[in-house]
Amino acid sequence: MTRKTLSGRVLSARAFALVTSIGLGAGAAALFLQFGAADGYQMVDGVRAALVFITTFWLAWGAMQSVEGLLAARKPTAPLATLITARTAILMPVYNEEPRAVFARVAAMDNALARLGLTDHFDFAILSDTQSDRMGAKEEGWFVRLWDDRAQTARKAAGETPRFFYRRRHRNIGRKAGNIQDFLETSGADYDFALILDADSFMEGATIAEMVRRMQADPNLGLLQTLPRITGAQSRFGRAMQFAAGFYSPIFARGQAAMQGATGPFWGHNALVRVQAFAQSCALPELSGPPPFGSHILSHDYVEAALLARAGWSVRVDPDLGGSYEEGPENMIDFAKRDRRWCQGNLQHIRVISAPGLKAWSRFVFFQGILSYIAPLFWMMFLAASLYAAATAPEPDFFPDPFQLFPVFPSDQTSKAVSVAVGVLGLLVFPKILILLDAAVRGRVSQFGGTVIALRGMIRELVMSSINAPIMLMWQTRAVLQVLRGHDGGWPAQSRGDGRLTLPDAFAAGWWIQLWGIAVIALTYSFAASLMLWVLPIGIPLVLAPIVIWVSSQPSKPPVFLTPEEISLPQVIADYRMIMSKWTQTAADPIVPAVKISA
Amino acid sequence: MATRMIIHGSSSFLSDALAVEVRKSAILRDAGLPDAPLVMPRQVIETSRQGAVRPAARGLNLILSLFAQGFGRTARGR
Repeated sequence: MTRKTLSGRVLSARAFALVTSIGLGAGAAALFLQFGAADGYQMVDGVRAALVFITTFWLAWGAMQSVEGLLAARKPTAPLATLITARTAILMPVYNEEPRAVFARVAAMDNALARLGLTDHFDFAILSDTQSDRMGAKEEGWFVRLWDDRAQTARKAAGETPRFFYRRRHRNIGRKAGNIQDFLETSGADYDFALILDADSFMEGATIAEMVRRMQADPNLGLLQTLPRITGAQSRFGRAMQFAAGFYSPIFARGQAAMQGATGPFWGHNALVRVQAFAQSCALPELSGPPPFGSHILSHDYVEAALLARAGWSVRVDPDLGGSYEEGPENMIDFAKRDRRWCQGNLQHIRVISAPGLKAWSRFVFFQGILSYIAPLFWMMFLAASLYAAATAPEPDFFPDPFQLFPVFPSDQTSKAVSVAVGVLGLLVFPKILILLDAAVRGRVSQFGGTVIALRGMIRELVMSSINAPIMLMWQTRAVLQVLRGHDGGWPAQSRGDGRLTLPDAFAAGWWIQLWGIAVIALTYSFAASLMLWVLPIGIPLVLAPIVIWVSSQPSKPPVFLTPEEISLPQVIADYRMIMSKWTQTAADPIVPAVKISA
Repeated sequence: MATRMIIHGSSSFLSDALAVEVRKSAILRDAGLPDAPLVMPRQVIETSRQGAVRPAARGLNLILSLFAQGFGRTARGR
C-alpha cells in the first residue's frame, strides 16, 4: 500500500516536472519562431526556435525541481533510537592531499563518535592513492601522529584491534572507484556498511549514527546519500557558492528526491553504502577504447547508483540529514578545473546510458548529466545563429505586389522575443525568489542572519552568477569541445587553501575568454548592431574575464553570504580547527624530532 | 672537544631517527587493512555497438523529423 502510494507520488512528480518543462520549452520556441519568422520564414529561424526549445526546457527542468522541493511534504523525521549493531568502516580516500588536514578531519570525526559512545562500531580507513613518494612519506608521518593521538598503541597492548587503518596504493588503478573496490576486496567482509567520504569531508557523529540506524531499519536500502553543505569558504566566489549551496540546495535536493523515489543519486562522498550490496553490484569494468570515452569510468558515482538500482537496491538521498559538510573551490579557475573533470565524466556516460537492465530513471539521470554539459553549446549556437539571422535578414519589402497602392508594414513581433527573454530570466530568478519567500515564511532565514541579510545574499549571488555565467559558459564549451576531440583531462588533484589569485594568474586563465568577448562585441557591432543591447550582458563579462576571475577570488567576510555554519560553528568543525591548531604547533614532520644542534 | 660533541650529537640524532623509523614501520604494519576479502563480480555495462547505435539513430531521426514538421506547421500557421 505504502509502496504503491509512494510510487504514484513519484510518478506524478516526474510527470508534472516533465510536462511543464516541455510545455514551457515549446511555448518559448513557438513565440520565438513567430518573432524570427516575422520577415519571412528561413531555415535559421527554425534552428533558433529548436535551440530555444532545448535551452528553455533545460532551465524549466531546473526550476521545476525547486517547485517540487517547495511542494514536497516536509514532516520532520524524528531521529531513530534503535541500537546500533552494524559495523561500519569510514573510508577516507586520499589523492595527493595535504595530510595534516585530512588526518585532523578523521580525528575530529572520531571525537564526534566518541562523544556519543559509539566508537566501537566504527573503524577509519585512510585509503591513499597518493602517487608522490614525498607526499606519501608525509602521509605516513601524520598517520603516526593520528595513531598516537588516538592511543592506538595502548589499544593494541590491551589486546584490541586498532580502529585506524592506513594503506597506500602505488598504482591508482581505477582511481577513486578502484580505491574503494580495493578496500572492499581486501577487508569488506568485516563490515556491514561503509561510509564513503572525500578528503575534504566532515560528518557529525549524530549524522553518521542516524544514517546507520536508517540503513539498519531498511534492509533494502543499498545507499543513503546526504546533502553536504559547503563550509570554510573564504573568497567571494567560494562564499557565494557556499551561500547558494546552503540556501537553495536543500530545496532542489528535496525536489529531486520527490522525483527519483528509490532510484536516487550517489555523489561520490558523504554517503553510506551497504557493503554486500555495493560489492555485488558496483565493480565497474573498464570501458573499451581509450579515454576520454573509454578506459576507467571517471564519474563512477552516478554509475554505481544506477547499478545498485539495477540490482534492486534502493538508493536514497535524505535531504533532512544535517551535519554533512565538504569544502568547495575557492576561485573560478579551481571550479573550472573540477568542472572539466566532471564534464568528461558526464560525457563518458554516453557509453553507459544504454547499459542493459538499467532503470529508466537512471538512464534519464545520465541524459540530464550529459545535457547539463552540452547545454552551453546550445546557448553558443543560439548566439551565433542570432547574429547570423540579424546579419542576413532581408530588407523589409513594403510593396510585395507590383501594382500595390498602399505599403504593407511587416508586423512587429519584437514583443514576443522580449517575452521569451523575460520568461528565461524568470526561470532563473523565480525559483530563488520562491525559496527566499518560503524561508521567510518558515523562519529558515534566521539561520542565514534574517530576511534582510538573506535577501542581500540572494541579490549579490544573482549578480555574481550573472556575471560569472558567460565566463563559465566559455570554459564549459571549451571542455566539451576538448572531450569531443578526444582530449583526456586526466585526474588532477584538487587545490585546497584560500584560493586567492594574483592578477597575472587570472589573466593567464582568462585572456582567451577576453579575446572572444572582444570578437563577439566587434562582430555584433559590425553585422548586427541592432542586437548590441542583447549581446552586451554576455560580452562585457567576457571582456572583463581576468578582472572578474581575480576580484571574485579575493577574501570576503560575513555578514555577506552568511550561512548557518558561520553563525554557529558545527562541533566537528570546531574540533577539527582545534586539532589542526594543536598539530600545527608541532614540528613540520610530526614524527622526526627537531634537529639538535651540538655545542 | 667540539668535534667529539658534534660526532656524539650526530650519532644520537641518527639513532633517534632510526628508532623513529622502526616505530613508524611497526605502526604502519599494525595499521594494515584487515584481511577479510569480499568478491566483487565485474558488472556488464557495455552492449554491442551495433545493437545500441541502430535504435538510437532511428530514434534520433524520428525526433528530428517530428521537430522539423512541428516547426514547419507552426511557421505556416502563424
